[in-house]
Amino acid sequence: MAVDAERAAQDQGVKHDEHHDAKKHDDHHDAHHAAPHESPWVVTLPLVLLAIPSVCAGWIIGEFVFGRYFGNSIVVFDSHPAIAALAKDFQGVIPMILHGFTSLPFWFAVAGAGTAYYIYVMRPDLPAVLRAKWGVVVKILMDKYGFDRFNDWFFAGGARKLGGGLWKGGDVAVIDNFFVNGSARVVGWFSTVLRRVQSGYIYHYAFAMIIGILLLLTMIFRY
Amino acid sequence: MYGLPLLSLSIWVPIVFGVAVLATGSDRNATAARLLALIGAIAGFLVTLPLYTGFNSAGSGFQYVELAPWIASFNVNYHLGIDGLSLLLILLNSFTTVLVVVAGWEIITQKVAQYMAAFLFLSGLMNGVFCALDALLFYVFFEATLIPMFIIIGVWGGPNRIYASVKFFLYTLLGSLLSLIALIYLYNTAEGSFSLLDFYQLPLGLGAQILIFFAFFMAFAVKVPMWPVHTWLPDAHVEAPTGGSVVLAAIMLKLGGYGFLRLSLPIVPDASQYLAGFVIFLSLVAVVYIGLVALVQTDMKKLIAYSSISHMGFVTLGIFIFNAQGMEGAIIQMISHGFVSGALFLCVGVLYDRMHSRQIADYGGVVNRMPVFAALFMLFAMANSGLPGTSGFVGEFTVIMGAMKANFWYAFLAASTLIFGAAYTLWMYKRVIFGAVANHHVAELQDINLREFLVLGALAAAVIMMGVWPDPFAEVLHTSVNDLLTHVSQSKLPVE
Repeated sequence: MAVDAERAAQDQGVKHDEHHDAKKHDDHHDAHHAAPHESPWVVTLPLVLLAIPSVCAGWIIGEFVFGRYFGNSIVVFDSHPAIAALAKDFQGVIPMILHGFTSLPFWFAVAGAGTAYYIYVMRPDLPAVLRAKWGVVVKILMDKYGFDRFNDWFFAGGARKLGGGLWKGGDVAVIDNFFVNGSARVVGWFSTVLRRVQSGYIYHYAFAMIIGILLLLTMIFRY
Repeated sequence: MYGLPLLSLSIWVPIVFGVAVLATGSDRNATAARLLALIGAIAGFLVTLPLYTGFNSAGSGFQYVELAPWIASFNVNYHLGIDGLSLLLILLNSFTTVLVVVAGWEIITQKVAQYMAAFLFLSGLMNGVFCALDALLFYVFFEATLIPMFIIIGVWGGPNRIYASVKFFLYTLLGSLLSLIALIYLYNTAEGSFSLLDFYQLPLGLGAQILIFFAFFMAFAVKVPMWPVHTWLPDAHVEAPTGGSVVLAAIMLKLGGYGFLRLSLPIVPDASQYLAGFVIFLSLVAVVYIGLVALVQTDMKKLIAYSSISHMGFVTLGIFIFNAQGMEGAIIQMISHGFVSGALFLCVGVLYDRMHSRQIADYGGVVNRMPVFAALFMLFAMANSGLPGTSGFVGEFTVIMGAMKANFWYAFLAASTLIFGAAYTLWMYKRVIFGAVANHHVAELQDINLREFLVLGALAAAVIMMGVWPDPFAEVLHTSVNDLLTHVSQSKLPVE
């Protein structure tokens, strides 16, 4: 009850207080409210521990994948010689590193880092210019091509709509109201009708008995 | 083992302690009632432990059998015995009873002795259902469990408790009346025996089998509950006190799944196979339909209630695909769901005791005030979504594997629960636990105390243990499940 009162109070008067606004915006713009800070050690330590193998693992992983390390634990069917095809192209760690420098993803990554350095560090005036000139492109990129919004609207929203429909329409209206309470209503209605038969008048009962006897006699003498 | 009638002890120790707790009388002796109830619950749990340690996993048939005449003129016997399936459910039941007694410790202040006694009675009666090998004894225990639960919801429940408890009672009673008629028919056909073991050997024509199947189905489908006879459960859960919800979700629903395995399948195997498609259809509807309905709930207890129905759909699916993986998965899922749903209802109870609201909208940012609670709640939410490493994964994964063997589309639809489960559970978790502190009531929250930590911690340990090392649970099942499947594969239709 107390919580309800609180909510009502919030709804009535204090819509624009700082607290309320903060909550509203927090979901997407956290950074605007809290100054960036270094992560605590529980985050840093695992990152450091993960950084070590991510530098070194490449030197030994070839032996794991293409050598005899797994023995007979992993079976590759002859019809899917994927590992053998990969192994043909793998000539050791150094050639693999050199190969990396000639692949497109590597240069995309470098280009990304370079562009970011250029427009945010060397020419911090550029983002505003770009945004003014190519607003549409910037918006498409910022929206991540609208995939998130589509997923929110179509999958999340659709599932909620469907769930709501099944709940209100299926569970509440059809099952509970129509079938469960409906059968109770039918029984109730039936008994109100039946109750009228029990009128208390002797001549009603006598009449019913006469009809009953007539019916019985008809049945007996027919066969 | 030890020459003791262990099954009788597991039934009657809690009930005798229940009587003793009732004898403490009014709330002036509340502390005595609580202590006595705790001793009774622990004693009840301890007597079930030798059942596990002395259980012969390789042994066929029923173990720890006890047989004594009860109503001699009708050849009704006090006939008890368990296999691997009943063993796990008895352990789960007795374990849960200890937790609900502790969970209600300071929370229940009115009619304490009656509250605690109701749970002890319920515990003993449900153990009776899991042990009974005489059909009438089974029926008596099965129906008797309604009484304490009716009282628990009707006396200690929320504002709409009378409506909920009557709905619960009528629904489940109506369902099981038909099964009594079926049992009496079987009694006559078996020439005056109520023994389940006699029923198992009884040849029956397909027409009779189908009628008996539906009579049993009405009883057990309501209990599970299966779509579309499930609507009593959300109401009952919402109105029940926390302990009532825990026992209802953790054990009572399993009476339905257990009934299918103990009665429907072995007594009418041909009809069970003939109608398997029908039951699988209803189970898959439960998984998908109820998953979607759970998504839009605004009341936490209702959400978990719907989640229970969806998860129990997995149980009936696993049972009726008729392979070992499906069936073992279904049983594991029952046990896991006992831990996870019980824990989730306790978590909601912890919040409710502090805020007196179950509405998701009233919460937000709870993690800022209750970090320990938030961590435990997170584990249970993950387990409810079927995350690997938790018990929720083991059952669901095994059932999906079994379903894949039966039919790709069964597995496909069943697997959708992993998406829906994650969606409704984690979305609720996010709205309740994360974000900014929603209001000054949340700001004043205190983290869980030692008593609450012990209860949730015990369940957390169970969830993780079952998730990473399910063998101790699975190994007692293999023989029972294989025996049942062999039995079911032999037609009982009379030879022309």
